[in-house]
Amino acid sequence: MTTFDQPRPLRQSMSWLHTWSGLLLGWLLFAIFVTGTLSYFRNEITFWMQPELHRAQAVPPEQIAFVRALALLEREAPGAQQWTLTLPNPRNPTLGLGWQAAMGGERQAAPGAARERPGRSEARGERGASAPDSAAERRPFPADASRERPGRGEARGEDGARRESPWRGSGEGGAFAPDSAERRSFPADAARERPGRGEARGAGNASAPQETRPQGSGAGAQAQRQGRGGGGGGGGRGARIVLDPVSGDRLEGRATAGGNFLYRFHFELYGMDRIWGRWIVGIATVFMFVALVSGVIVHRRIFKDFFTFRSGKGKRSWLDAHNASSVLSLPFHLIITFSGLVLFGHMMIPTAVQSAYQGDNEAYYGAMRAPMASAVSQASGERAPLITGLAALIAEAENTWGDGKRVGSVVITHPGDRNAVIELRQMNFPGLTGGRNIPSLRFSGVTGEPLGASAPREQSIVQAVGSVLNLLHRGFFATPAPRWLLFLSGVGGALMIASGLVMWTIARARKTSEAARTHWGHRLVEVLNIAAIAGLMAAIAIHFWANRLIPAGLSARADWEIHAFFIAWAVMLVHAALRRSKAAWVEQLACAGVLFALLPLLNAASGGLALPGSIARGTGLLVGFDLCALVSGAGLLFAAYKVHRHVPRVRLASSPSRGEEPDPDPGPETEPGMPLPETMEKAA
Amino acid sequence: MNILSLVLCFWGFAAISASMERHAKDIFAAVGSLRVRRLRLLAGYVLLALALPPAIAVHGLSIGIAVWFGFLAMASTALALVLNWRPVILRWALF
Repeated sequence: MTTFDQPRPLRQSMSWLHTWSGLLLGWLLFAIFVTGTLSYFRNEITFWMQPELHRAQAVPPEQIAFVRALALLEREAPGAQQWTLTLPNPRNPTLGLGWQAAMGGERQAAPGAARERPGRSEARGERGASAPDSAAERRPFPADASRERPGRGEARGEDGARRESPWRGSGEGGAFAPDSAERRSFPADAARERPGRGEARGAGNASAPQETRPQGSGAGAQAQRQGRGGGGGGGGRGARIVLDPVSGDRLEGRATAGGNFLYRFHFELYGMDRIWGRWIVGIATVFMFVALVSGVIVHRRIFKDFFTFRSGKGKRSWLDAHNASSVLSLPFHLIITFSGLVLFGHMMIPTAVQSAYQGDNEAYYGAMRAPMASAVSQASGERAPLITGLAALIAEAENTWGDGKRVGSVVITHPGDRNAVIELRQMNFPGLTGGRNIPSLRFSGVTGEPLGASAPREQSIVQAVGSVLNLLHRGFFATPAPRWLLFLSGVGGALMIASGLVMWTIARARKTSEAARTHWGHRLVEVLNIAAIAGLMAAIAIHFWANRLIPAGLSARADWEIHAFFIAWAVMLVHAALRRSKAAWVEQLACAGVLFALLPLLNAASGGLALPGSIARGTGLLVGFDLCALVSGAGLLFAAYKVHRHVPRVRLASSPSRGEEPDPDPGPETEPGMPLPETMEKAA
Repeated sequence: MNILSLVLCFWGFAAISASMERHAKDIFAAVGSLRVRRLRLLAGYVLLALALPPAIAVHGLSIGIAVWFGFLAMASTALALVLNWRPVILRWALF
């Protein structure tokens, strides 16, 4: 290896750059890619992790027990300013209820609490501990909690408190309101994207203007605004109550880290200040981008070798696999990496905020989260019964929209007042270019007469570009097809990184095998490869197992699910360091494979809806989870088998694989198939 | 419509691959004339373009384009695997 500062041709220097930018943070990038890819199904994962909810069945609006749901809301949140009902949908068959408290005198008291809670603590370990007591103090005033809460943070806190797990809480949005929740939480998520402290500040920000206002109707308007923009529109903030949509019975899901842990890990890691986590991920993203661009330059025959994949040719095959998984999904890799950078943009390059907002982050976030321009109604103070025929309104709205558009959530403002307004929001984003506008229709809550559609919010070009990238990155899409495509592309990206990492060791295998002992650097990369690739898969499987094996009633159980993940990962690292590399690959891949393959059985045995049942009842998301687990398990076991059978032809890398290619079907967990230094066909 | 778009993508890429010497040899056991290969290339691009409208029809313009890119990635990956595994089976779909 040459030193980096000697003069050399462009391609060579790019090659150097590609190798090292890819390797240095490659292990982290692999974990980011895998957890991020799984995040496309985080609602489904969270749902799977709450077997108590599995038997709910998505039904069309006319079969939903709205009367019971409204009665329950009336009982639980009589004075609320806003109720939100998240309707069953393909990504979550339950009916979610949430509310936002009416404004009250306590408002002033709460900000402090809201502020200390926010994002920060949530991202950390102690959240679990801190949440409950704040819950206690907040419970009596559900109202002030939601009022003060500006962004999601507060909401999360509260939910988390209730379940003693902030993760769970923060999962709420996702968990309870699949698409619509994601979408709804979008504006608030902007807030979330901001560095840790931001969350807290956001809180302060949102509540500050409010406090300075008179508490009359003006404040009401403010609160309303805040609820929609900052609070993530109610629905996203998360239901506090989950109902079986048909019977209207309450369902108590266990506290779980859910898919949300994986989601948050992929952009802010865990166990450190979230701002640090985001910086680390942000820097890794820059490395990724550098590796992508330099990789394109390095690739000599990008078009000639476009479809080329030759199995059974050792190093050559690894290179082919690396090239194919990179080039064929290059648009995805570029977009996902670049949009990831844009999401971190205001953190990593704060210049814009400094110049345009004089460094006032609050103003910036406020502008980014500006609520939809929707007419704000004010309570009249006069009581009037709320109509209960929501199904009829929903049918009317869906008729008006036509084109198969569905209502995703129902937001009722000032329930019980003469000025009550029922807003029906669409389940899905109409497209990528509409920004944060979710079409909705408004009706009088007393007479049911239509009040018109919500006015779309104007957005600047910058906002529009930003939101397109954001939507693409997160896959807020209506239908399963785009989501699966993103997921599979993500799998391809993970394969790309994994094959690149493995290639590093293969390319250097000869040199080291000549030496009597393996160079420590080589050995280090090998060990890290095993632990980061096969070990991560096993750790994710353990995370799912922990979800079912940790008693449902245990306090802080959600945190233990996360601890189980990291403990398992650490064990894998130690194991990889202690074993010979081939044995370590085989054992870890086999371990992960068995754990994944048995997940459907575990699901059936621990109270979940078993595969035959979920197929029979058409609960697609459970079927999908179980099948993905089976496919992943099979892929991992196959990979383990191939490594096990492999006999190196020469001393260096010999025959490669065909199973390692970015196979379109396998779950993300299949990537370990890749890493086997040598494998497959020939060798076997 | 999703399936149609995906199939068109695959078919288009198959035709493009058949316009390349190496793959043409794998598929047809003969390189073929330059003219035929150019024709395949053209047909391939046309097929890829034809895959776009169905995607847009299902998903709307913006998401449709994104989905089309996704299909392109999936189809080309699948093709690369087929070319390595049994290139001959592509024969019936090409000229």
